[in-house]
Amino acid sequence: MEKHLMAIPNRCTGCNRCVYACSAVKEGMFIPSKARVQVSNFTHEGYSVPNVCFQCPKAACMEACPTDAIFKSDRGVIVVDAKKCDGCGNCVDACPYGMIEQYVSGTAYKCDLCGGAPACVAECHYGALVFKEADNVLLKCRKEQMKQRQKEGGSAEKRRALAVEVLKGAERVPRTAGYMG
Amino acid sequence: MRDYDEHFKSDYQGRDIQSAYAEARKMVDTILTPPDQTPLEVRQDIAKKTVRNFRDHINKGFLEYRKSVTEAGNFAYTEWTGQGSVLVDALGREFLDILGGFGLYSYGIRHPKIVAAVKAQLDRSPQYSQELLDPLRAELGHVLALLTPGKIQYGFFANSGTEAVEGAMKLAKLYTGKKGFIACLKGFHGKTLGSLSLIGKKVFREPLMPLLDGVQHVPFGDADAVEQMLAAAKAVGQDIAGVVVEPIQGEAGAIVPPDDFWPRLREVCNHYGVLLIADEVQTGFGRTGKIFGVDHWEVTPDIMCFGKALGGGVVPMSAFFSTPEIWSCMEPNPFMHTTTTGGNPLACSAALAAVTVLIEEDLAEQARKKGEYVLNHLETLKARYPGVLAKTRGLGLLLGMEFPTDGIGYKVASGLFSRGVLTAGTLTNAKNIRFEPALTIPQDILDEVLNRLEDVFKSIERPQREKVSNLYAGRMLHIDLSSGKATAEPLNEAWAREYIGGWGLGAKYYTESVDPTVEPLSVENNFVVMTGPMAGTLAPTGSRTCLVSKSPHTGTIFESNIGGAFGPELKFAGYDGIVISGKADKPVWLKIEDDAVSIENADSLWGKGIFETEQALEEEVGLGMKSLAIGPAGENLVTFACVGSESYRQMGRGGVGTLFGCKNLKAIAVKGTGGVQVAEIGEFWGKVSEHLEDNLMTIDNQWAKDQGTPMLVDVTNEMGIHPTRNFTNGVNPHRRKLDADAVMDIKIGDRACATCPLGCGNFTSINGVQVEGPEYETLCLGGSNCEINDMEQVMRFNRKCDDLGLDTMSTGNIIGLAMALTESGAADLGLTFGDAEAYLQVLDEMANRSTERGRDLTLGAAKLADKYGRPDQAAHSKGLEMPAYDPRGNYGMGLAYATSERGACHLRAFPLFADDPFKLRDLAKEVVAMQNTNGAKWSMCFCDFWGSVDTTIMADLLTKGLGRQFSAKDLDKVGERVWNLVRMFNLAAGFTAADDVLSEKFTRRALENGPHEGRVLAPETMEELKGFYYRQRGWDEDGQPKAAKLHQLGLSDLK
Repeated sequence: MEKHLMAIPNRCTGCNRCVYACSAVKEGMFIPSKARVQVSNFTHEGYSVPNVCFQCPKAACMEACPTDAIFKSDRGVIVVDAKKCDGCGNCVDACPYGMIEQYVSGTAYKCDLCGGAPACVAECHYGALVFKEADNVLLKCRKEQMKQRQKEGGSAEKRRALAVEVLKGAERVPRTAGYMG
Repeated sequence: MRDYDEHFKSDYQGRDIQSAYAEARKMVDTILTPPDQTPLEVRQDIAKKTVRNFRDHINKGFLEYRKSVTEAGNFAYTEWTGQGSVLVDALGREFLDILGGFGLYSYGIRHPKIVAAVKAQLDRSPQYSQELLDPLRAELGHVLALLTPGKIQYGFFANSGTEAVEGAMKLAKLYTGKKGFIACLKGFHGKTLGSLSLIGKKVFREPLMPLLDGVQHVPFGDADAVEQMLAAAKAVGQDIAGVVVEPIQGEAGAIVPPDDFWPRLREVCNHYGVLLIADEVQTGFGRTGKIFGVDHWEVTPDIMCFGKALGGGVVPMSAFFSTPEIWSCMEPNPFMHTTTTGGNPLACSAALAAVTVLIEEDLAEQARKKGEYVLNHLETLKARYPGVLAKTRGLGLLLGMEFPTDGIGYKVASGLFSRGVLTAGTLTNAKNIRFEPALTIPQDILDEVLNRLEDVFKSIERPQREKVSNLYAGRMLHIDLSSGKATAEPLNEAWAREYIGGWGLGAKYYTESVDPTVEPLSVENNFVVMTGPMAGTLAPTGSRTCLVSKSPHTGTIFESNIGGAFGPELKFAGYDGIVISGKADKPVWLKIEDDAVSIENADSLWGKGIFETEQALEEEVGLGMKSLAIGPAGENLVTFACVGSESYRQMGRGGVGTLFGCKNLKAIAVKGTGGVQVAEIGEFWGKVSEHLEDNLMTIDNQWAKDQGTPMLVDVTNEMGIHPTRNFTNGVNPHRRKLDADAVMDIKIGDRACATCPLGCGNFTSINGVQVEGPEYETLCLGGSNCEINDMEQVMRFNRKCDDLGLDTMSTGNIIGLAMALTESGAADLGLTFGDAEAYLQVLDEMANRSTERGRDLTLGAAKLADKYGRPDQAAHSKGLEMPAYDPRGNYGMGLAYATSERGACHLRAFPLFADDPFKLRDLAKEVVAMQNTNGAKWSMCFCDFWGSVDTTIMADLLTKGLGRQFSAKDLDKVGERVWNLVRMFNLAAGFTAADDVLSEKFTRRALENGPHEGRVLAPETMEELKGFYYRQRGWDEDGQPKAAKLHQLGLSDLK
């Protein structure tokens, strides 16, 4: 079975280690604005939602690309071929989750699961990011997030809008031992 | 320059008639030669001579501003000829024109139909006799009457836009018999003395005051403000003749008002019997996509002013028009307003031809379509090159591009210029660039302009940092609130080596910037916000941010720090710290977006709580912004007001919020898109992971991850040092209601600061009350100490303090004292132990200083107890309210409090778990060692809760990050250096060894329950402790660092 990168918002503390780690791997420096994973923080509500690329089965970014620069690898990962990308930005508009972005040069970038060992997961000390074959509970969680498709706004707004919906639907109960608690 | 003094013997001789003739002759010959037949060397000569002439005879000041000079090579770009939207200079260099001569060239350069009419008229009659009736002027009056809306029918012709406005003002005064005018901020109406009075920008007005009496300015687009001004003017008998407004503000950067603005202006002016004057000089004749600007809202003004495009871009011309009713006041004496050259036949023929072109070529519609096209394209560019273009706006082809900074705006303008596109900034707003081409601009030229614009955007590198350095951003931001100036300066590297960052480097920057005797709340006092080298990296818990200044609460130097993610964000924006000086004259907030730093108006935020303020800031600055903000307590200068961030995090102690408040600074909001670099990312990250696993995530620090600080409730109760009932008891029999288990019962999530894997924050919720916390200090000082043994009420207290901006520690301590004073009969403050209602109520009274009682409590514990004659009831040192560890049962804590630079503080040394809490000599040694380690730790900005981190680990991370060796010994020395630096400052500020004490509560009154019942920390014991301590520190018996110690630390210059 396929492994998925999944976010379990109820566990997220908003520390952003995943974001820093991602940018360090991809950009060689700590530069969260260029990370491929982001965290939507609701500090006042004490809640945080990691925004991850779902590597959609039918990827809108891929479909929107006029130069076939975005393709699906044999492992099912949606990958940008920077050489083919002409910087049109159609993919950015198309992604309903705000998870593909452009450099100033126009070239698009997105999560590629670090070739199968995502750095973000390794840095998450609360188990809010997991990379594994999904069980029913995890799949349900992923499905709930994937339902939140946004058409309007920039990438940051789309991520925030998804996170707002996740927060609305979150079951926030005093911690007791339990799977999603 | 020609040396006139030498050339001419006397003043009067200062002329040379023959040369004047020869020069004029030569130029006329050149003019008479067709432009394409003038030899190159003649044109080169003209280019050179023009610069010289500008310098010697026009105004050399312009040469520094004109890109045609500054961007040119050997030859300045010199006006020569042009056609449509293409301009050609004397050397044949082409420009695409989107400046449109400031809106003059609506019909393009040399529109053939207009030029033909003017040439024909030139051959017939160029000027008037001034006696016969002139047919062209009369007919143009007729044509414009037909073209303008409503009853507008009569007009007067002049030469330039400012004359039209002058005339309109005279007409309004004459008709209404009143003298005042209302105009808009940032508005532009011309620069002759009358219209200058209407301009909404200080730089043009101020040097020429006084101008016309009775002119008032209101914000553009705010009809309510106009109405209020009119109502006020009426109420005080200040009569207003007219309201003068541009339909769309041009020079301010193409600002379009809200849709109801013009209709409301019409209503309001009717209501108050005031004339509505539309300055259509720039907006008229198709520019905005309608024939006139007011057509967008279908409003008829009383007077309309025209200029610029009126003369077809061929002959200068202006006019003001009005209704028969108003014009009648000019009829009894038509000589009230005349001009010799205004409305001359050449100008009128140009205007008449221009009107035919306007309608034949439907220029208004062309402007509308092209404007939409350009705006759409600019939006795309804006998204594609984030950080370059900030805003686009305007209507039709009166468009503006706003850039984040003047600097970027200038780069774009000069980048366009060097790519052969002509544009300029606007007069009243320097961040703006005009996009104001001819309405006839062909589509292919428009596309070419947009292409070149994109090319410029591409070339604009993100603003360069002074220096790319490892771990540090390499820059300090200096803000002078008095002048509104923001400057970024290179980080002082020598200081950074000696003091690292955070507390140390902040203290260095601070002490170098003020006199030690400075009054904390005076305009001369500064404060320094400082991050550490680990902020913005994965180094765990290393992202705290310090603030250093002189405390308005204690008068000592102090440092207060905060977790969350403000520090990293500041680094990502490109700054290691901020030095704030001066005082704003009205409420402001500081906005930092990478290189774009601005001081913003905070009128709408003033008075708001911190939660609401943060929300408003996020809307202004955008998602992910981080801020430091104050609430009402800081605004009202409560001396223990805190600064809040992310709702529940604070720089709590010592009155940080008060410093913000006294500078009229509501908040600092930052958003950064840059990064933090390290020497070698793999090695650095490897070290981070190693120390994280081997040292941080171990049993020593596990408490933070498990329960967080509430676990201390049990610990301190067991030790008998849990302040209860205003520090009367050391054990709270009801502690179960406020202990870690009680917190865990209502916890709904873990919260962490930036990159911290511990996540010590407990997010709790009970009966709809939510808070991150309560932390131990709040549970004890706001709970046990006030005998509020009810978690929900303590949470309410916590939330309220966080929102109002009160330090929960000082506040809980003081309320406990007030309860004791009330119950003992010393004062009647209406507060008794356990009375939750009054305890919550008094928080508002304190923050707002709204009641006698509230004001009393804001005195702080020391002064409050003094006021009611019970100094033995106050728990503090140097005036800072004591934290929740009773020193009578733990003498080490007593020494730590007494010797802390900022008064009673548990974060300087925490010898709580000393082997023997009463063995004086060892305690002194331990306190000094801990203080020094913490001096280094707070300079590195690590969190207290990485308790096991030592200078070896810190030095290891620094070494790997910086790429150069840093030893544990170096860091130990940093810690000791900081302690001595702040000690010297306090001594210079007037503090002495006699201040290194605890309040009488601890030296004279014994603990009343628990294992230490009956114990005091007697004055002689404290003296003995201090003796050991001073010796251990290398200080003399007066607590003065000895010369040898200062020398050893490189602080000899402090003597």
